[in-house]
Amino acid sequence: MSEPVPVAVSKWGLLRLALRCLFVQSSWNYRQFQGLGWCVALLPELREFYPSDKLAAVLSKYLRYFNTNTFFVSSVAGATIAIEAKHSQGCDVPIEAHQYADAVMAPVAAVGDALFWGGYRSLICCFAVALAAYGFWWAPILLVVLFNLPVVVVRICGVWIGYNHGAAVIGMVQRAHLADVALVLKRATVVLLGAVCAVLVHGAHLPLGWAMATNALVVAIVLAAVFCLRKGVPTAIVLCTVIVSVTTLSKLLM
Amino acid sequence: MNLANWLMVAAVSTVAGLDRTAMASVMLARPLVCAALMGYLLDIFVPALQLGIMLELLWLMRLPVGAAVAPDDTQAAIGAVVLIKLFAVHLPEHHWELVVSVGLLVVVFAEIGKCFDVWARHINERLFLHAQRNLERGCWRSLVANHYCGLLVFAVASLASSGFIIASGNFILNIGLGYIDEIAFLFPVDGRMLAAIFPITGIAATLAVIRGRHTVALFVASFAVTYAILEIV
Repeated sequence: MSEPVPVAVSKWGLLRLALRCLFVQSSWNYRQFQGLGWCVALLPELREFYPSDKLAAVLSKYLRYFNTNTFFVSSVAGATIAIEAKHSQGCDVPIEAHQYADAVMAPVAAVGDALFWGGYRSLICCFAVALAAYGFWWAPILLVVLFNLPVVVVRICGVWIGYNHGAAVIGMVQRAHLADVALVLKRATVVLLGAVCAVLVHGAHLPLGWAMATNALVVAIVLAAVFCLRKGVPTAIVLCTVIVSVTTLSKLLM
Repeated sequence: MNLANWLMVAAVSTVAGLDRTAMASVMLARPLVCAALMGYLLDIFVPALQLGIMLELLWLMRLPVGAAVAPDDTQAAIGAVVLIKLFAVHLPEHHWELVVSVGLLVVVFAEIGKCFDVWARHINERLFLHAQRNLERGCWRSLVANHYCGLLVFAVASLASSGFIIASGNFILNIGLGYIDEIAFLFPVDGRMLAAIFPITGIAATLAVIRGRHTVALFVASFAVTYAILEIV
């Protein structure tokens, strides 16, 4: 007897799945995090795979705790749909689709959050602030464009790759060494922060001696603020303290 | 400000607020972007961009992941631009004092503004439970309606947050308007320099979270090299 053929999802169907994944956090809540959004994102495909009388039972497996990175969620959705398509036709699958999603959401969240939120977003925002501080009015537009170029690729191609590779997509993410990329991006952010600080301080047109003293003071203020913030002092209090200190110092010097 | 201006404020506040968590995350919610957009629409682009620069880095590393809710810097930036638009005409000779005062006010209000975000997430729990109960009864069609109702809840939370920031800021600035000369006397420092303290504190806040090897050395070296290049150029 021949192996049953799984239901195929069209390219247009995959694109719509990727678009629905944009709204996965629309009903974010403290009880099940993205659970309802995840279930709704998969709903149209699941409706194609299962008859109405079985659909509620299938959906109840997905309507539970779910939380992963918002940019990689389309890859997980593509892989989940691929496994579910095989399972619905009675094909052998190494792991059930909802179990696969439960297993990969945390590692994908860890990698995706470090890469996009902790690494790439910080770098792009610092770059945009440096440009804006230097007088380039189009810096906010550049921020949006630069951030979304790789994000759109990951979101659109991710669902396609996830669907075609199924459960193996997590191995591809692992082989891409994205955690190492995130680390490099964070170091680049630190370098850029130094540049932003210099751009902000530069322009006072002070004599060399005063400029050196001012620069040393700025670096000292930054390091002192870092120390306080690491000790848990709220940002607003640190900000007010720095403003009062600089004002007092300036008044004394004048 | 006329009715059209207020409608634009509401529209930007809603869209940027949704982009923050509920929808897409295309970075419209970043203070630099939403402040610049709001400033462009209200015809005060330059001070709005300045406010965006001031607020952008302060909570950059408070990542919107898991159950963590960062201070509402989106609505803080939008509220700050609106407050500048409302008060700039009354204080033409105290521009920088106004910008710094508004910046300080919204930094405090952003911490309160996140309560609306937390409230929206609690309301969404009810939507989830409602959807779950319906699914247990075999009615899966209500899943979609309950899910997208969450968008409405987040939109209301965004409007409430920006409304609170604008109303509170308006109240405090109206009181402070009479004392602006005294404030300028107490803080006689160049306003441009005071405004630069915001992003410098933001830089410190970002560095405080990035705990890599040689972080301080990299920062100081980059600062020195960039400053030298800027001096030469």
